[in-house]
Amino acid sequence: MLPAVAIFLGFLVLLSGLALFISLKKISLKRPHSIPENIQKKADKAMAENNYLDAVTEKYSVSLSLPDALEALNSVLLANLTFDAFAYVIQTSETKAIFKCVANVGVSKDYVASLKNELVIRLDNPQIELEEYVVGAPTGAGGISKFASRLIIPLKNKDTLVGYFSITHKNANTFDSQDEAFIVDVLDTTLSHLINLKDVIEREKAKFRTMVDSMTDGVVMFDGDFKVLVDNPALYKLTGIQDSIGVNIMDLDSYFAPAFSLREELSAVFTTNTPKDFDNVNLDDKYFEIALIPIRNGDSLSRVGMIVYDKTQEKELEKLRRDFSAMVIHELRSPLTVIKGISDLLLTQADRLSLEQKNEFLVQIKASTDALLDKVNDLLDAAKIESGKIELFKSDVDIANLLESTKYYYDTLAQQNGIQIVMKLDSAINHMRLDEKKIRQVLDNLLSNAIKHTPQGGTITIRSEVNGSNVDISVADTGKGVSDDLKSRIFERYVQGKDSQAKGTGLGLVIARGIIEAHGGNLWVEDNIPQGAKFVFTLPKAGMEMSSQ
Amino acid sequence: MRKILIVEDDTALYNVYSTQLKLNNYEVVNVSDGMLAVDAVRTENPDLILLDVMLPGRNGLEILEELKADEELASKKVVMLTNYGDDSNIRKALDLGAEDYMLKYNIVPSELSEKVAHYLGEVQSSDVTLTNI
Repeated sequence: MLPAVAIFLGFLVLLSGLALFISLKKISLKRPHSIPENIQKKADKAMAENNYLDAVTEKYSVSLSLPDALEALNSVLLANLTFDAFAYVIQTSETKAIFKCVANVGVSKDYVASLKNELVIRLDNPQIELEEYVVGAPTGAGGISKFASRLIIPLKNKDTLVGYFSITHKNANTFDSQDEAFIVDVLDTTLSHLINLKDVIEREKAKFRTMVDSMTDGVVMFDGDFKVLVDNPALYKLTGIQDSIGVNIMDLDSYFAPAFSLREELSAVFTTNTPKDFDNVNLDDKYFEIALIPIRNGDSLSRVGMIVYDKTQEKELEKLRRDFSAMVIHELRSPLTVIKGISDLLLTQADRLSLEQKNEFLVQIKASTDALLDKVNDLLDAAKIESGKIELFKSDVDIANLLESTKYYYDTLAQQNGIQIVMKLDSAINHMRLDEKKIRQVLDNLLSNAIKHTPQGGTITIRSEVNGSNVDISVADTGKGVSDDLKSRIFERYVQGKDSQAKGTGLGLVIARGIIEAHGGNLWVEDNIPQGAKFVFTLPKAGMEMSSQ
Repeated sequence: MRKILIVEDDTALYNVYSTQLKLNNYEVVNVSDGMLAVDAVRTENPDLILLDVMLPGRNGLEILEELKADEELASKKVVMLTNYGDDSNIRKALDLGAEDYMLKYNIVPSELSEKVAHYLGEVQSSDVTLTNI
C-alpha cells in the first residue's frame, strides 16, 4: 500500500473513532415522572438514549448542521412521550431560519400551520426568511386540526437564544412539568453534546485539512453519488484540473478516461467494498499509481478515497539507470573490442605486419587498457562516494605547485587544440592539508572537460583566491557554457550534457564533487563572464598555513 | 582494387579493420562523422560499405535509409557494424536493405575479410558462415 494511503486511512479512522468516543460518553437522560419500574423498560430507554446520541453524532459529524442533528430526536421522544407532533424553529443567520415539523399520521396542514405560527412569532423578527420542512403526513381538512396541549422550550447555544422547540397533542393536559423537565434535559444534553462535538470535529477537520493539503499525493474523497467531498492542491497540480469550487467527477473522469473509467471503477469499489490499484497509469507524459480505497463508517461503506501518486520521477530514474547500465557496458566493451581485434590481428597476421604497425598497435592496446582502467576506476570511485566510503589520505600539499604541475601536464594538449591556459594564483595560499591524489583527480577532470569544451583560440583560466574562511579554486573556460537546466544536474549520476559528444561514464563530475565534499568543501558551476563555464571548488582554510610573505 | 568505405568513429577500431582489409588488398577509406557519410558514398563510390550504427551527427540507420532511398546509391551493398547486439536495430537495418550485420565485439579480423569477400562476390557463400537472426 502506498504510504500516503496508510496515513490517509489512519486519519479517517482516527476521525471516526473520535466521533464514536464522544458518543460513547453516555449522558444519562432522566425522565423524572416515569422512572421505569421493570428492568426491561430501563434497558429499552437506555438503548433509545444511546441510539439517539449515536444518531445525533452520526448526523452531526456529516453535516455539522444543528437541524439535522435535532431530527434524530424523534426516536427518543417517541420512546418516552405521547404526542401528535414536534417542531422547532432555529435561526441560522440574522435573516434566515429553519422550521421543521415531524407530525404523526392524522395531523392536518392547519395543525402544522398553527404550530409554525406559535413558534415563528416568538422569534420576533418579521423580516425572517423561513425554510420549511414537514415530515409526516398532514392530511389537510378532516384531520386533527388543533392542539390543546403544548410545551414550548427555548433552544440555547451557550447563552444565546437560537430558536424554539415545541411538542404538541390534540388533548388537553397531556404534558406535565416532569415531561417538560425531561425534554429540557434531552435538549440541554443534545446541545451541549453538539457544541462540544462541533468544536472537536472542526478542530480535527482543520488538522485533517492541513494534512491533506500539504500532501504531495493527490487526494480525493467521493460519496456514494460520486460527489467530491475532499480534494487537495496536489491533485490540481498533478492533473492540471482546477475549478473555483474544487474538482468534480466530470473533470476527473475525463482526465483519467484514456486509462480507465473512474465512474465505473468507483462503482465497482462501492459495490465490492474492496480496494483497487492502478499502476503505471500513463497520462500527460506522467506516470501515476492510483489507489481507490473503500472507507467504512462502522459497518457501512459511505465513501471511497482516491490517492494519486506521481511516479514520473521514479520512472525517469529507472530509465536513467537502465540507460546508464547500457552506456557502461558499451563504454567497457569498446576498448575491449579494440584490444581483442588487435590481438587477433597480431596473432594471425604477425608476419605480414611491419614493425611500425606492430608498435602502433601496442600503443593502441595500452591506450585502450588505460581507458578501460580509467572507466573501471570511475565506477568504483562513484560507488565509494555513493556509499560514503571515500577515504582521504591527507598530507601537506603546496597548492601553487599542484596547480602549476596540473597546468604543465595539460599544456601540450591545450596547445594542440589552440587553447591557452592562464594561471592567476593568490600568493597568500601556501600549504594545505589535502589528499593530493584526489584533488589532482578533480583538477584533471575539470581541465580535461575545459579543454574538450573550449574552441580553438580560447582561454582556460586557473585561479586560486582566499575567500573568507575558504580557499576558492576555479577553472574557467571560454566555451559554450553550461545551460541553467544542466548546472545542478551535471553533478548527478547518469547525467551527461546532451549535445556533448563526450564519451566516458559521465561520472567525472560526480566523483569530483564527492572528493571536494569529503574535504569539507563545495563544487559548483557558474557562468564565466563574458563567456563559458566556470567550475569553482572551495576548500576550508582550516589547517592551511598562510605564506609568511 | 575493390574499395571499402568504413563509416566508423572509433579510430582504433578503424585501424584494426583497415589493416586487415589492406592486407587482403582492398582499398579502404574512412568517414567518422555520420553527417558526411552519404556524401562520402557518392564521392568515393565504394564497392562495399561497413556502416556503424552509433555515430556522431547521424546514426547508421538514418544513413542507410537515405542511401536506399537514393536511386543512384540504392544498389550499394551495406553491412552494418553494431556494438549493441540490439535486436530491433538489426531488424530495422535488414528491413531497410542491409546485406548483413556484424557485432563489433565478435569480429575476428580474418573473418571480416572473408565476409567482405563474400559480399563482393569473390568467394562462394558456402565458404563463410552467414549470420542469421
